[in-house]
Amino acid sequence: MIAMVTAVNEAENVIPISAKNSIGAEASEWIVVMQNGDASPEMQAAFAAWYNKSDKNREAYDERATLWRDFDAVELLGDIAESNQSRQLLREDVRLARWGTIGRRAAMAGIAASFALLIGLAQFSDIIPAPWREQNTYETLVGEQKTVKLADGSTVNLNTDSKMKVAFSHGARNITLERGEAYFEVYPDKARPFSVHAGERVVRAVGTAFAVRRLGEEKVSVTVTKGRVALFSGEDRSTESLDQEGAAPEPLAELDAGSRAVFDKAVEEVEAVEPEKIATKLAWRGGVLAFSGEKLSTVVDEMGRYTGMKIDIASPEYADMTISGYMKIGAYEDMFEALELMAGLKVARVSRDHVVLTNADEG
Amino acid sequence: MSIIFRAFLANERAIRRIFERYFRRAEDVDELTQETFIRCFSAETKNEIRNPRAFLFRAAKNLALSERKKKFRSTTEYFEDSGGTEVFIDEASASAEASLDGRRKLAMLTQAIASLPTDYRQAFLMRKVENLKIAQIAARMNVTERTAGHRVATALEMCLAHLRKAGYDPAEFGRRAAAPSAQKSVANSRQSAASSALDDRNGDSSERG
Repeated sequence: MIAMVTAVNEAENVIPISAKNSIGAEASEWIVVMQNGDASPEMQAAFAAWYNKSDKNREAYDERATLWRDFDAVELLGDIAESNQSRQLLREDVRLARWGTIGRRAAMAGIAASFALLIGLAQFSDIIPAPWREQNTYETLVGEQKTVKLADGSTVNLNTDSKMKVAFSHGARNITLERGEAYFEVYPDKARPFSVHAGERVVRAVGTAFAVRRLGEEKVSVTVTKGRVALFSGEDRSTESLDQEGAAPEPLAELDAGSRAVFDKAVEEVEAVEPEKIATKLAWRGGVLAFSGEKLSTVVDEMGRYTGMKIDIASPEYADMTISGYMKIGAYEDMFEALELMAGLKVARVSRDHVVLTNADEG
Repeated sequence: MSIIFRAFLANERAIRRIFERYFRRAEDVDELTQETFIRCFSAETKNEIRNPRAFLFRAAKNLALSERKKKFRSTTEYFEDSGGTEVFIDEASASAEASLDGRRKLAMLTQAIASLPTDYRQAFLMRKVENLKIAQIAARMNVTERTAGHRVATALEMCLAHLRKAGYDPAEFGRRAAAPSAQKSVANSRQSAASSALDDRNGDSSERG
């Protein structure tokens, strides 16, 4: 109401009717004016006069008023555009466009450049078969998991919200874990060491199975289930230096099956883990999150990785509560339901991507 | 026409085939095909899409996989809750039906918007998705308020024409259950018609002001 009063002096709001248009077009112009919420009294009077002039005017207006209200539903498009899936698709689109430009330029630059394109194709697609060679990027969305069979026969389970680049050549198998977590079952091949790079950290194996998880920019956690791996750190431990025979750098540590380590520039902790505990830690590979006595704060951090939601704990005394149980990785509603059961707390929605855990008794 | 919409129309068969691989029911395929369009067009309202065809196919594949997972899980849950009585299933399918209907309408409305020429489409999206006033739209598009208002009005007119051509009668479309009788009373009385139209405007301004 106040908005309308202040708008009275806006006489420049010329009555938007043009004689050449049909009644329908006039009606639409009126809809826009009247639904803007700031029509002056003069404008309202002009509208009433127009509206009451004929049945045709009224019908045209009412029909469009209904449609205008129906269009309120499209407000949802804004939310959908902000969703994780949309953002992921857009990132992919930008990435693809970049390669597309390079391809187009090469094609236009003639024969010499076409040759360069051919090399590009050999590297980035399967057109030229080379079983020992692979250049690929694999990525998962929040809550998504993927199993990837690599060109050398190794298998990778990629956990939620993770990304890895695979660069295999005849002398080395290099994987870059750009974010997230992955479990590797490495096909034994002594001639081609298998290295997982996580920032400046490197985990190197021959024939073994292990999980690597990035804990932020610097820190990496490694869990070995089979065989033995070596841990390296620092910029000088680049792909090249690892490839060179003889120039093998000193590892920070070597880990045997059944152990877990966290390291950045140095090894921070190493622990022996019982087989059952390892199974719990790596249960995500089977689509299950398993907890055996972890603190609620840890559980909540884990769930954030799989749901993309910000999860707050309403009062600090709950944070140390221990949690045991299983939940299926999948729709976050189901995961929260499982958390409610395990913790005896209530999950209250604050916004689309933010929830708070509160005491079940408080409403 | 939006570039996503153009690519969607050109590739609709192929997108349907993606879903046909995973879902047998034609309704599921229809629904997911429409959902793909809604998602991709939403993304286009805020960003430039460089490769619309690849964008649509990727969205369709993601959707097919996540939906298949969801369907699979809900089926196993029905088995596990061996008390999966008829009432329970009916309730679930009824609410699914209702939300499907809402989604179908959203898809129709979105297609109508997507079919508009760029300037008109953007003006209309700013008004109905971002809830901007005409003065704000004019400032953003760097045109007079009169032009901005005219673009929104013309967009509405074109949407109406699009929906009619697609075989939908806007008078029956997307209406809340009580609306048809309200419409009748408006048509019967001149005076109440004018005041009801003014009420629309008042409701609008008080909601937003």
